[in-house]
Amino acid sequence: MRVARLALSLAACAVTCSYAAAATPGRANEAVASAVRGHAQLAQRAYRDAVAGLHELEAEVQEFLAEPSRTSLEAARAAWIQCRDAYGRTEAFRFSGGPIDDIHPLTGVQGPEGRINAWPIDEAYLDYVAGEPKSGLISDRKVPIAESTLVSRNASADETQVTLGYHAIEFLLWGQDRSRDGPGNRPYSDYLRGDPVRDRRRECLRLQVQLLLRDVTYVADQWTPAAGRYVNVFLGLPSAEALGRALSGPATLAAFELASERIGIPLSTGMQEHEQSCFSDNTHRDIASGVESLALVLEGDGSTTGLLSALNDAYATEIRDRLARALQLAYTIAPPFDAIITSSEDDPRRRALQALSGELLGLAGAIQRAGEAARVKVVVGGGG
Amino acid sequence: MRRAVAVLAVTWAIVGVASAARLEPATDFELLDARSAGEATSQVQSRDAFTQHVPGLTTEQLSAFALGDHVFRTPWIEAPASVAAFDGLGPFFSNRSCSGCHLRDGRGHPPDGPDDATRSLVAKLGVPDSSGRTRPDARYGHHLSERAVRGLAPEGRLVVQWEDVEYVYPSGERIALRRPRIEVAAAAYGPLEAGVKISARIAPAVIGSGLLEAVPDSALVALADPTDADADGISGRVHWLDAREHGAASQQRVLGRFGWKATQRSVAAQVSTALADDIGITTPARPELEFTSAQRDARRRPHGGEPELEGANLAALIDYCRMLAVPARRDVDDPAVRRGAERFRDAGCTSCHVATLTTGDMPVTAMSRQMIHPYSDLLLHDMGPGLSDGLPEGDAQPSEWRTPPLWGLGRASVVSGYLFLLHDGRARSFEEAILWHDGEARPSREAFRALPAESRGDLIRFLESL
Repeated sequence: MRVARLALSLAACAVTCSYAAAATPGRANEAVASAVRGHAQLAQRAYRDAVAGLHELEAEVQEFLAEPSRTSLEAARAAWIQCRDAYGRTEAFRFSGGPIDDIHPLTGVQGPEGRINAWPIDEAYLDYVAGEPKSGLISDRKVPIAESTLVSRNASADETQVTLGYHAIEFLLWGQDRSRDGPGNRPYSDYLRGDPVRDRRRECLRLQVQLLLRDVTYVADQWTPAAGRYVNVFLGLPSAEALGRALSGPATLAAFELASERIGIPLSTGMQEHEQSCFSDNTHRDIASGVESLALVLEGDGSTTGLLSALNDAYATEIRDRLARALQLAYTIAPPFDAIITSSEDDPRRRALQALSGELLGLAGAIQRAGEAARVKVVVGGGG
Repeated sequence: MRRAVAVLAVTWAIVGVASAARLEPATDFELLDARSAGEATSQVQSRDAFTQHVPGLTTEQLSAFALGDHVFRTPWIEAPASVAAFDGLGPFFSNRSCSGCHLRDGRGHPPDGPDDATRSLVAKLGVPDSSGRTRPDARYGHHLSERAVRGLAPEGRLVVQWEDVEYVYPSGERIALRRPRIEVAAAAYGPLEAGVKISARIAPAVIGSGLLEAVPDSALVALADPTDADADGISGRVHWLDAREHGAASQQRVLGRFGWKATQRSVAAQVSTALADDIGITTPARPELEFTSAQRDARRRPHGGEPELEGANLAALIDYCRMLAVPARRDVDDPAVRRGAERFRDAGCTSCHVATLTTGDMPVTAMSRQMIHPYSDLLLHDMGPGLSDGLPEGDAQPSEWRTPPLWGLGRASVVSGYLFLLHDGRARSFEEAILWHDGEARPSREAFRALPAESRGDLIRFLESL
């Protein structure tokens, strides 16, 4: 078959080199390469921290299941809050062709994000809810509670039918949030031994924590240099391509995930269940740790340089200023978030969230323009 | 079918890829263009390959997309409920949310067998009369829903039995195809009419809807050849819809382009129809649900507003569907894919699965004046008795189907975890789907059938690259 060679080579590059517009000149190239190496180190540390947090959660959940009580349930919940923060600080590594949510270029394995962080949740798919005491997988004794069940049923028919991840665990620890001024209030007695349904709930929680730990460990491993790992692929990319990928993560997290999905939607729909951590009322921390992850990826962590070091000074300054304002606004969000969702149009808390959303959209725009100046394509993706 | 040369010539002028003099004939390039939808192509190839918006949205468009994404995924609940925005499910419904059938904006699947519940397949009903038109079933209407709100019996249950049909290649190679036999069990309002036809339809992927909508009517009319004036055996025709029934006051007739039978004129119409028929949600375009006189109990059920979805939430849902991108192709420089493209073209597949269309002016920059490769002419074609569902629909005959777009099909199994093709999901592979082609597509199927196995494999590799 006769083929248009010029056109074909352009077309092929659209897939393999989707983020690099052209090669960058020499001195800038070294700054880019150094930022790319730093990015990989930051990712590895951030995911290792998330794994460490999950080990704590696993230990507390084991203690809780061994001896269910108000105190041990509180300890397990506190461990969830802690480990959730650590995971939040990894989120800017999403949306960038990495092992968390994309297909591994060597193994073809789909990243586990959908098993880790799925929300919102149709609670009644997993366990009882108000008015439906026998609803959900946990009550359905025809189906075994096993790893295969939880994995195969997670978002397999509908995205809200979630059986796995932080928010499924959150629901099992807190239960439905039926109040405006506090979190869910599931009794520890839901986990007492000796009843078939309660035993299933115990096993479900145990397995969920185990699978979450395994999945996040997989991602941490992929950022740890060794043969066949994603990080080796990433560091072997042309540095402009690697920079474009890396910048697409924070740009998408800021504009789509944080500004639109997690702030804009709850504010515009006024729906309580549209807050991310709706059972624990921890949404303010989800947002703050997400902004922290933007800062981590862009500014670095003190010992390791972030992506800003590869960008033009004027853009870097704008991005730093916006990050500082966004962090300040994020830290002022007062829980519970659902009270802000249902607040009036002129409520100052609502205004502050809208300002944060605007700051994050501006940040994403600045990242895109900085990318253009550095001749890399920053993709603001979204959905999924 | 008339040749699409004029359309393609315009395409080059608008996109201006290199200079025309340096390019080989258009068909060669277009069949190997990795950019499925021009600027509106997404690079994401993962499980989320169908959930991406087109690049370069403004802040307002991005907000609408995000809100629409939420509405798409939100499970509707029964009225009355404390969450006023999204109540009013049913009383009859096939699923609770859009994403319940279009998981990650992808395709649905048929049940595995008679005991399997359907979740992303719907059933249309009708009684054909002697004039070739269809009237609704007296007790169940146009549609059979398998689920209902609490305290109300579902209309019935679809029982799908698969019958094996053996297909033999000239080489003696055999392959088992299957076709569904569909019955209704547990019919709540008494038996269906004697002459009723039941047509099962799986949910199609949502990607690229706005781009297909942006192709001017005139381009599709130009592709049609209802009387086969050029005697090539392909007589694609526009499904003209009655304007009064389809909400367009100013014209006599409007062009249908969405749905398995091209019965919907626009994304907005498709969305409102699916909301009403499949979730039981009313909109300004479909303010009433359909109940027969036998269904007074259902009619009395509380609703979630008049209508139940309107304003910003509905507009965002429609815009969301419009702004979904199409994933880029993979492996276009693989020699097998190149050979497969040539086989696809030589077998005449591109007569209906037209490789290139061009969009008109659009408010979203990346979707405006784009050269797109949906592999469809959006026209109705006679696909032969094997695919006939016995049910005339509007002006479409039982054996006529709209050419389904093929773009993104190579990612469908990654997105959904399965792949079922054709209107009722009977085909479990590209090969099975091709072998069901008949009617106008018979010569193309015969060309495929006559190929050596290796060349058939190349053609399928080409489809997998889409």
